[in-house]
Amino acid sequence: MSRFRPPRGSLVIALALWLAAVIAGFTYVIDSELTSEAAGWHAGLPAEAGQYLDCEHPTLFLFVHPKCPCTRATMEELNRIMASCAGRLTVHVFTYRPERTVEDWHLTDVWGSAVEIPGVSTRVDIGGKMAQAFGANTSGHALLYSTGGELLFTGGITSSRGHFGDNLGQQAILDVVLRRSIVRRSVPVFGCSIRGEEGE
Amino acid sequence: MNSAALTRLHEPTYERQEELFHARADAIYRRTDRLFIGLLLFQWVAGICGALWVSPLTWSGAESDTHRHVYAAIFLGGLISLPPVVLALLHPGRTATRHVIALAQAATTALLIHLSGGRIETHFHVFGSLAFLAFYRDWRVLVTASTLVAADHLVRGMYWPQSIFGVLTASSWRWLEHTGWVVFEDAFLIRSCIMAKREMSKTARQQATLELTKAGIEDEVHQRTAELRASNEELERSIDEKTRINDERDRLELQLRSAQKLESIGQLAAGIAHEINTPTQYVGDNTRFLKDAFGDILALLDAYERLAQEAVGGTTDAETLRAVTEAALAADLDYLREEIPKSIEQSLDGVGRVSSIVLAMKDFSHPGVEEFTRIDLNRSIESTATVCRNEWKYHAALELDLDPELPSVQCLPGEINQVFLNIIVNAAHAIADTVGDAEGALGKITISTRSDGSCVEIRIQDTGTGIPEHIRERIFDPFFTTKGVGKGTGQGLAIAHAVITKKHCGTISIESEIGRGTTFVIRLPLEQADAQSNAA
Repeated sequence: MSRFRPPRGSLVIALALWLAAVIAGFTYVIDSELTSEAAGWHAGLPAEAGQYLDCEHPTLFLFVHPKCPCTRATMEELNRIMASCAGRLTVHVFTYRPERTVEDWHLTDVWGSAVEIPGVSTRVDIGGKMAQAFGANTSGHALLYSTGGELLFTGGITSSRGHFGDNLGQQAILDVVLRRSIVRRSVPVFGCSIRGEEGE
Repeated sequence: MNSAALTRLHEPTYERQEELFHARADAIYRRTDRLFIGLLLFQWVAGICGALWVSPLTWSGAESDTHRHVYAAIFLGGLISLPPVVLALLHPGRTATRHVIALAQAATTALLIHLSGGRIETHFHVFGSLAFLAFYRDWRVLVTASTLVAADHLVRGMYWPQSIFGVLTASSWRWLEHTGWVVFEDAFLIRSCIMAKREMSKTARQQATLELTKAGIEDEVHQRTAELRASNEELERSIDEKTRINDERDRLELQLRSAQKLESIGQLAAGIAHEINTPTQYVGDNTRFLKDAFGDILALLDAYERLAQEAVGGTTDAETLRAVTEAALAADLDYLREEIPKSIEQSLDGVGRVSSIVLAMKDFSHPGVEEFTRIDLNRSIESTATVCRNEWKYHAALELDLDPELPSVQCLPGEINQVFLNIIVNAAHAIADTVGDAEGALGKITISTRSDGSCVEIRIQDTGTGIPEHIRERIFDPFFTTKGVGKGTGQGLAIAHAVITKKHCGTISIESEIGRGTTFVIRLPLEQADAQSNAA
């Protein structure tokens, strides 16, 4: 059998330092991933969005930055929500496009993912005006309204920046749509800033 | 030596077994370290490429910046991968090296999961890593990696569950579920490692045994080689001795052959002397007769001369006529007319006879010819028969049935003639044993020659006693003879056999029938060069 030779003291110290550095690195990276923006609470539906409200099913407004890599996870979670809700939820995805940019600026994989999800209406939000009206500054910000225009949920539908998996936002939406539970909830949003300096 | 004793003899020492085992294990550790150097660097580069491909930029409106995943892949990935790579390069095969590599591999799994956004598929990296770590065949390495994985799940599950399980709140036991799958794989891999180590230990024992056996065999081979070398040297000495004996024997044979030749010549000398003496005698007698006759004729011629002188002078005397008549009567002219030509004829015949014997002797002996020479065998046979005529003429008649078209044969003339002489004399002796001293009873010796293209065949047949079956195989042995003491040395046929078979690459055999006679059959190749190369 192999003979276990304990490492020398210097090697132990070096190993400990290395492990500490790795742990510190992970801590920093994970912590930064968890940096989010708190979703503000808007009691009513903005006037310019009234035309999109469904009077039969709850309506979900989702604001995305088409080039935000973290938003791919959001689109994945939206896909799972739509699969679970099976036509009992109306979704409008507003894709940001800065003013004075080429018309296909927003045609990214995020846009493509939104278009491919059945039951989802995809729209271009030039200059982020609609996002501004809803107070949505972070890509991946979703807002759920009742048929009467009452805000039921606001926040992100991923657990952290670009991470897939079960999360509170997804759970809140499914609770409203499938279990008709009226629990107003606000969760953090993880993603890129939609409008940047335009929004400031 | 029995098998149990051999087994004890080749029982490997524990130290050697351990030495071989650790050498093998060290080679595996070093080889696997080299593999991980490549894998760690590959994973680092792959992580950077993945980050650049999946999330190269982070956006703020229309503005973008490098995504923090790219920085994490470069710096945190480098921090994880490079130290173990350096350690593997500087201290390959060390226990610490492979444990650090195990930790780095587990940390790489955590980083890749993070970079892929917590995708469950990326968790499979840890299973691949554990399988790769099993290459070390050291189960402790698997424990190190698995412990870090378990600790990572435990700590992150407690403080940042969404970073590893993708949810904000997770069961406090969920880390055990993930760790359980890792342990599940470890169970197989650890067993595999232990079995592999047992196999290595078994192989080391077998190798140690093999080394001992090989060493034993080598010793045996050395010993046997030494014995063989000694035996070989003994054999070489024996061969040298045999060569020396053979040379001595050849020398003695040569001397013996010379002696036998001298003996033959001695035997022949009396006969030849007799053969020469007979014509010499009657040539002498005839010469004396011619001398007397010439005296008588000379006296008659004197009488005739005086008568002629008187006739010329016209004074022919009666006395002279009476003297002439008396001289004529004294000379007996009629007798002389009849005998002188006969005498001259006989003398010439006698001289010719002597001359032919002398010529035959010269042909027989071939003085000064010791190399292969192309000769007419028919003439050789005739000369030999002439030389030894005195040996056979009282007991046998000689009949020659020689092929006039017989080609010349390359041979040693003196040696071949000696063979013919020995066999003819033997034939004469055999016939003498048959006919005895009976007056006028003669046997027969027939000598014939034939050619079949590549060989000539000489058959010497006698009507002697024949050779008994039980001694036929021995007649060519040196010193074997059936003749009485003083009549033969037993060398004649032995020399004939040696001359025909060894010197001329020919064959000599016998066909014999008791009471009817014996035939010696000699076959000689026409060309010696061909015969020698075929014999070689």
